[in-house]
Amino acid sequence: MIEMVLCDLCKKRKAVIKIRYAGLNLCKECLSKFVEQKVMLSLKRTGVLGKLSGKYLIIALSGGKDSINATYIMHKLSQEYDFKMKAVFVDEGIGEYSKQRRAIVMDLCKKLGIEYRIVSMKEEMGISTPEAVNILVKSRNSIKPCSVCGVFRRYLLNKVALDENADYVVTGHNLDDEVQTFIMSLIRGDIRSIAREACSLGYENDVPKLVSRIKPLYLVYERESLVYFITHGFKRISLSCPYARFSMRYVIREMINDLEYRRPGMKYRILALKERLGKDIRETVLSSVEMRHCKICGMPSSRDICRACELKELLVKLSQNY
Amino acid sequence: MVIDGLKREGVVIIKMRNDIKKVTVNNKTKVEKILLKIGINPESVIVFKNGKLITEDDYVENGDEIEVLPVSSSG
Repeated sequence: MIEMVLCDLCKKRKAVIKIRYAGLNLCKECLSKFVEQKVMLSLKRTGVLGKLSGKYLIIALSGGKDSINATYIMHKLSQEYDFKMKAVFVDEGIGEYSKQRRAIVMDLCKKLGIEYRIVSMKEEMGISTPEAVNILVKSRNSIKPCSVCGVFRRYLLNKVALDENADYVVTGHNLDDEVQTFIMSLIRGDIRSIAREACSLGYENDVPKLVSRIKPLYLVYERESLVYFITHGFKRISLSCPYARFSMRYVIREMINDLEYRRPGMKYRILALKERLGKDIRETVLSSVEMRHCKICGMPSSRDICRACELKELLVKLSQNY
Repeated sequence: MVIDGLKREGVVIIKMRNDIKKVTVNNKTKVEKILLKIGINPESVIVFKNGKLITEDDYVENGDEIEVLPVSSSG
């Protein structure tokens, strides 16, 4: 009989994850505390924790592991820190993939007793993700599906948060997401994005009509998030987004995971660099960017027309030309 | 593993999505070693044995079936 690896912290229970950068094998209870302590740390670091009392939070709940974890943990904190929250699911209309996640969102909200709101991309933006992809493919346009879907989803979340008069939008972005986004910005040479992302830890923004973000899982590795999710008995849908493989993120993710295996803690170091760099260049880079409001929809934008309206117009134009 | 002066080998069955691989291992082999042998980065997956989560520091032996789940669902 082979002996099982025990938790390095409690020395009692069976380990379920190896945290390579910390040199620790952890059991499900100790991992749970570990993840929740990281959430508290990121909320404290940004000063958000002390401001939550009496606030109203919109939580972007996609039905994936990260947003479910973020919802579950924020819901646990909501009583102690006295804030209210509502979940929002943006239905992209991606067939069974969207349907299954919507069902999971409704089920979770009912179980936890959280109010929820379902927002249809087709109804709000006039087009679903598959329809947009179809137009892009037929017109041989190089814009990737995630670039449209992501812009529309962010746009709708902010719109709903404004409509609901919410103080914050909570998203399930984990440490891996943040590191990948940073590397993608570096590859594109997108210095503005790096400067803007400096505030992604939850700094208050002073842009009218742009609701401040909170990312509770900012310091949590995606792998830790998945094990937290599974050990809490949440259901994972069997389908993957059919368009994810077109994203550059896929390539970057593999590369970073490879680096992380060779040099444990690499992701943390990249995240630290991202924050440092972002803070240092923020003033210089963003002082030349004047935030205004989109001439079409009135939402915040650094240009005359926001990216969401620009994409909407482009899709209409493309659909008329093939 | 050496018993009666003979080196015993065993087979571990690995399931990943719809793919099933059989890997020949020396008895009692670390999960990390098996993953690397089939070209999987231990950092990008989690592993179950008989439906229970194990870590890459755990060992498997002849006849064990392990399931490998990618951390990112979209990958």
